[in-house]
Amino acid sequence: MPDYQELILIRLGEVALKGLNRNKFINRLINNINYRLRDLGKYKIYQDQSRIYLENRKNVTEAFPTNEILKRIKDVFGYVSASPVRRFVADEVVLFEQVEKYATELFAQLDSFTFKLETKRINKKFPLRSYDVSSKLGALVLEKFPNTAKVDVHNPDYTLYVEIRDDIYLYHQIEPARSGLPVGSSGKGMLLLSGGIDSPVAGYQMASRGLNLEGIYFHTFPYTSDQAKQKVIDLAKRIGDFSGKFHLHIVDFTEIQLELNDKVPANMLTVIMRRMMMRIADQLAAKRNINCLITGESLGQVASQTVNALMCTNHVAVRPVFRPLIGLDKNETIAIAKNIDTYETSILPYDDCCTVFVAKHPKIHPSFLDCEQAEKDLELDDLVKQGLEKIETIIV
Amino acid sequence: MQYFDHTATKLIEKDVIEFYLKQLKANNYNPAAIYASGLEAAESISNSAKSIAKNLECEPDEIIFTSGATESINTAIKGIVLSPNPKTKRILTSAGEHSATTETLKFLEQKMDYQIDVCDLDANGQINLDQLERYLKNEKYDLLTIIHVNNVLGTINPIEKIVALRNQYQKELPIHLDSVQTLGKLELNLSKLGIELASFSLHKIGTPKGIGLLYKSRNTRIEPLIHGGGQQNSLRSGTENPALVATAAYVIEKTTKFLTEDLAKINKLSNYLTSQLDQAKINYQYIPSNDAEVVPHINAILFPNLRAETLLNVLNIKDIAVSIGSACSNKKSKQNEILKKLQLPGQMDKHILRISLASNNTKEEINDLVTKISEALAKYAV
Repeated sequence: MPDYQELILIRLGEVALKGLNRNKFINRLINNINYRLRDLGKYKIYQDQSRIYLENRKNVTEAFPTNEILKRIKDVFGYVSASPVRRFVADEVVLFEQVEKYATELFAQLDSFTFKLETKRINKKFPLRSYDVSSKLGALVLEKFPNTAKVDVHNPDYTLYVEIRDDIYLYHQIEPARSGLPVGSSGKGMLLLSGGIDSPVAGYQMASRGLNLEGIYFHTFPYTSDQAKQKVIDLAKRIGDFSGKFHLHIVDFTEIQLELNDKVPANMLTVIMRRMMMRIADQLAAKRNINCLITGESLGQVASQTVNALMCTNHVAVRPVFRPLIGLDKNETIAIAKNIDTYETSILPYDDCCTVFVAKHPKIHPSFLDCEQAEKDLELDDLVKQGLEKIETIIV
Repeated sequence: MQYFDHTATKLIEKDVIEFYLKQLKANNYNPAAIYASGLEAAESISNSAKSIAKNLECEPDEIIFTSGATESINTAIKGIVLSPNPKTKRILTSAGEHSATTETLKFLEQKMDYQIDVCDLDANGQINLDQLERYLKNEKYDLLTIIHVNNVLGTINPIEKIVALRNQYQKELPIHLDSVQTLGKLELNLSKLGIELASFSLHKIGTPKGIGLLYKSRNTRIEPLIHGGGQQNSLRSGTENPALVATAAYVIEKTTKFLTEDLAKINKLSNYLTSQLDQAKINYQYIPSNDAEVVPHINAILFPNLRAETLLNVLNIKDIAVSIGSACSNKKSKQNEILKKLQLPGQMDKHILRISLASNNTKEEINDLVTKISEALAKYAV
C-alpha cells in the first residue's frame, strides 16, 4: 500500500457561481463524468466547495488509472481544470517524506530545471505556516538536486503545489479544460448537421453551454453518396464525445428534393430547401421534446445566409434557432473545427445536397413574399409529413 | 457484380490463380540461397525476366521487378535525380500525369529545389506538342516524364513525336514513360520506342497486386531507391518473390499473345456500348469527343443531365461497378484536375463517368448497364 492516496482534483468554474441551482449543475457534471468512465470502473466522486474529487473506492487495491481518466474527461464541459493529486495525512514528517519522494520521481532524470513551491494552509492547526513550508520544502529539493535544481519564483518549469487541509494535497500538473456548462444542464437542442465544417462546430459550441444534442441530417441519395452519410455519422460520433449520447435522425430527403426541384424557381431553390429542412427539424424537435434548433450558419457566408435568407428560414420554425457561428469568420470556425478534431472529417470530398442542387444565381435577398410565391405549388404539410415518416434514427 | 472498372484493376482469372498457387507451393525458396532450391528460384526469376523481355521487346537485364507502378515511377524519377550525371535541376512533364508522378515531382520541387515545367493538355487530353517543343528548345532538363495512355480519358500520347522532338533538341535527355495503362491496351516494343525508362503496374493486366516493373535501358544510369541485400543488380534490394514473378511472366505472355484478339473484342464492345446508348436515346458525349486516338478500353462518357457521382451511386446499389473521372469536389484528386484541363463548360467535368471494358464483358452486361443508366437518368436527371 502506498502511503498516499492518488486522486484527481477537478476545479469548477462558472458552475460554482450558480445560486440555488448550483447543486443541480454539479450533480449533472458528476453524472456526465461518471458516464465517461462507465466502462472503466466505478470511482468515488464527491464535491467539496468549488471542487470535485475523484478517487478509488475504499478497499480497492487496483492502481488508480489517472491518465486514462484525465483523457476521458478531457471533453466534458463544466470544469476549468483538473490535476492529478497525491493526498496524505497532515503531518510534518510525512509531508517532507512525500515531497522528497515526489520530487525524486519528477526531477531525477532532468539535466536542469527551475521550480518553486506554492503552499496554501487552510488547516490552521498545522504547525508550520505557509511561507515556512514553502521555504523548507524548497531547501529540501535544492539539497536533493544540488547540481540541477534552481529556484525561479516568476517563471519556473515546475510549481509544486502543497495544500494543507484536513489532509495534505500535493500536485504540480494543472490540465486546463474546456469550461462551459455541464451538458444537459440547459436541456436539449436539435442540431442540423450537413457534413460540412460549420455545423459540427455549432453543435460543439452549444454543447459547451450545457445542451444535450440530437442531430438531423438530410440525405439525398443518390445525389449524395452513402460515404457522405457515413461522414455525417462520424461527425455525430465526435460531437457525441462532447454532448453525450447522440441520436442522429437521417431523413430520406430525395423525393422532397426532386419535388422542390420540379416546382420551385431555380433562384429560390436553396432558400426553399432550407425552409423545408427547418420545418421538418422543428416538427421532429417537437416530437422529441426538444425546444431549440441549432445551425452552423454564419452571416453572409453564402447566398442562403444573408439577413433576408435567414429571416426566411427562421420564419418557418416555431422554436428558437441558435446560430453560434453567426458572427464568426470562416477561419475562426476552422480553428475550432481543428481544435475539436472534426475538420479532417468535414473536408472529406463527398458532396452534400446543398452543393448538388445549387442555382447559378440564387436570390440573395429573398422576401417572405418571394418565399410564398416560390412555395405556391407545393403541398407543404404533405411534404413535411413525408419527411417525418422517412427517418432512420441511429444512436452513435 | 457487373464489373466495368478494369482500368482500376483487372480481376484475376481462374487460370492465373491456379498458376500462382502452384508456383507458391513449388517455387518459394529464397532466390539468393545457394542450395539447389534457392538456385532454382533464382533461375525461375531469370527465366521470367527473359520471357517478359521477349514480350516487351527489350533485354532481360533491363527489367527491374518492383512492388508496383508507384514504386517504379518513384525509382525512375528519383533514380535519375540522384544519379551522378550532371544536373540542370529541371524536369519536364505534362498536366495529364497520375499522382504517383505529380506527387513525386512536387516532393522534388519542395525538398530538392527542382523546377518542374508542365506542358498543357489540348482539348483531347493529349500533350500540347508545340509547348513541349518550346520547352525542349529553350531549357535543359534532367528528365522528361510523361504518361502514355491517360488513365481517365484513355487518350494516347504521341510518343513517337515526343521522342523525335527530344532527339532533335536534347538527344541526351532521358524519357520516362508511365506505361501503367499501356500493357494489354497497345502493342509495345520497348527497344524501338526510343525511351529510357518505363513503369508498369501488373495488377492492371490481372496479376495479384504487389508487383510492378521498371524498364531501364542498359545505357541509362539511375541510383536505386531501396538499398539492402543487393538483389537485382543492386537496383532494387529486397528478396524477390519467385512465384509472383513467374505469375507476372505468365500473365504478360498471355496478354501479349491475345492482345490483337482482345483489342478487336473490346473495340466491338465499345462500339456496342455507343450503339446502345444511341438506341436508348440517352444524351451523352464521348470525352474526348473528336477523333483523338484513344484506347477502346477506357470510355469516358459525359452525361450532361446527371452528375457522374449520382449515376455511380445508383449503379452501385444495382451492383454495377463503374468509376468517376472526377472525384467531385475532391481537391486532392488529380483526375479532377485533368478533367478541368479540358475546360468543359459549366461544371461538366463532374458529369464524366468512366466505363472501362475488358474482353470478358458481354453484350448482355452492356445492355443491362445502359438500361440502368437510362432508368437513373429518367428518375434523377435535373
